[in-house]
Amino acid sequence: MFTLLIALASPAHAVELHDTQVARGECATLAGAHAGRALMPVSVFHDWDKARNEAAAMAKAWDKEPPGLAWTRLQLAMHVKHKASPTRAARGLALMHVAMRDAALAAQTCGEDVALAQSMAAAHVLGYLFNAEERAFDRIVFELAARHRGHARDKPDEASARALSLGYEVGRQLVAYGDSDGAQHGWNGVRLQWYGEGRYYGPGSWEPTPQYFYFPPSEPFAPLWRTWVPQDLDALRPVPPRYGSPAYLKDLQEVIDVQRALTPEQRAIAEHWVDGHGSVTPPGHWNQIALDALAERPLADARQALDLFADLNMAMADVFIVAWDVKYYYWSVRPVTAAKQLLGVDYKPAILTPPFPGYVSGHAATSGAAGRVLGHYMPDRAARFNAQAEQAAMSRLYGGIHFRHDNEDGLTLGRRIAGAVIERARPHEASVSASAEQAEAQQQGQ
Amino acid sequence: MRNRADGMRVVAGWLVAMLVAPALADDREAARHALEAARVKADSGALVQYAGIGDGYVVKQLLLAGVPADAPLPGRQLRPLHNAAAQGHLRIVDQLIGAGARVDAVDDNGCTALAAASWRGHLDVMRSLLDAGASVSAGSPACPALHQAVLGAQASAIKLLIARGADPAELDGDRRDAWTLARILHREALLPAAQ
Repeated sequence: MFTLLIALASPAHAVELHDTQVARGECATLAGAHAGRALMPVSVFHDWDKARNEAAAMAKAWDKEPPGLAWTRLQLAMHVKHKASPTRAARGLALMHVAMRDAALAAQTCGEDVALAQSMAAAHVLGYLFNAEERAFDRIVFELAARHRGHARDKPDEASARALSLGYEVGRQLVAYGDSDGAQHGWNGVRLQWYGEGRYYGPGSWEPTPQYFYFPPSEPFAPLWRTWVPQDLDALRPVPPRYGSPAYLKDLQEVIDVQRALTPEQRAIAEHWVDGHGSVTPPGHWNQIALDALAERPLADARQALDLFADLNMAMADVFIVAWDVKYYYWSVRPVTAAKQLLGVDYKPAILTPPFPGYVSGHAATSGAAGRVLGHYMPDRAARFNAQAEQAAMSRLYGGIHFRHDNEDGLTLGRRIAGAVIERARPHEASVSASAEQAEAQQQGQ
Repeated sequence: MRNRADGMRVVAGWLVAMLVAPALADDREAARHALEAARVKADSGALVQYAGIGDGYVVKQLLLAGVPADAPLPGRQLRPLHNAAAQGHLRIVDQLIGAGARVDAVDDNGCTALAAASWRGHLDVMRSLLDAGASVSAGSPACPALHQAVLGAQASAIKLLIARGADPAELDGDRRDAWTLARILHREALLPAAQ
């Protein structure tokens, strides 16, 4: 009791969070909001052995890398297991990584265990995103706490309990944020109910594509989702070449020519970046690139890693919303359909055409943004990330699923959005970003 | 005598208003109830949507509920008539025209309903639009109907447009006449030879 009074009276507990993206509150409230034991999953059906093994692997990884990276890997594994769509994957990655950064900053401010708070926040958001996992992530955190702080799993010590409460509360706030971001629009709990709202059927409009002719198109309501940084959709929206114009026909002929003479190297590039159904998804692929880059050479401190992943994923989530706005504004036909309509050419794309309109390429836009964010945090490797982004964009031409203008305009759009996210997130670093971009431009001889 | 006739006209007008206005109000109220039951919002977005789907019942209720037949999607130029024409929904096209939709209004790409129907080759819709006064050259040069028929490889649509006055020598936004466009697409046979 005496300890509790001292704790409540200490200045740290009166501190209000200030550097967090979403989470709000005072330290005392956050650390005392939830009783640690009450948060523990108790169902007899739960598989604690699996959680123990996962926690052991995570704790081992913590010895040599920031604690959040293991949760990033776990989220990517969930994308594969649950066949996440690219748009929902980008949204989920942003929610979890903002939760981890907010929880880590809050724990630092409040003097709590950073790794545990961050893990609990991540687990809570993952539980929201993958509810079929039935609190598997919470179980991992309780095993981690026991291993990390040396107490019994069901008897967290006071420090663990405070960190878990703080992490849970931050996670809860992020889930509330996610629950109001518009991504629920049209869902009836089982599937998306879309009956042609806003659809365009005129010249050059999208049609379901071979070989599955999947319908309805993916996520037509994504343009209504809330972005992390305010985005003016009307101002950002690029304009494609007119259907049937000389520029359009030139790009269409290029897709056909590339498909007819596809080299093994081009096919390999298309397949490397395919990131289709049942993969880590395109935004997941860029998280993997970030993980690999950090394994190769870590950043100076853990804070930078937190910022990198939060900005990377906020930028990609915003890019998806903006790119989907462009897609469902123009309803542009895919090359495989246009080739038949305009030139009477049947071709089989090297990779499967995704079930939604073409312009702009979501993969190119994501890659443009990701390359820019990674280059911002690792300026000495900016040229490499930029080259990877351009290769990812071109991979959609090699795959036969996008026109060159889909890819080029997508790249530009993504880079623009990433710049806005970096500047908005940390204005004091904008000048660093600008100089990194200048260095990148000089390297490319632009 | 003249005053007496005027007076009778006023009385007759008043009687008609008394009898018809409640009926119209009843229709509007009934339509609103029908839309509520179908969980359809009575707005222009819904009219564009259901015109494209081809749901004549909902379109009728939306019009009865007072949704303007010519209202585009918010912030856009896409109108119900464009979608209905592109999809070949003749009855809905006629419903919309009857309710005041402008036949020569252009969408966000500068295309008219006639251009959309020409691209898809919906001859009956094209005839209906032309009979209602649609111009074969509306939407030029951004989106001439004849060029769209060539892009869609619609031989019968091309014949109909030319018969109704479309000029193959007219240029599109890229300064191509219909013959040039047909040559690029290897569809010269679709057009009559140049004079």
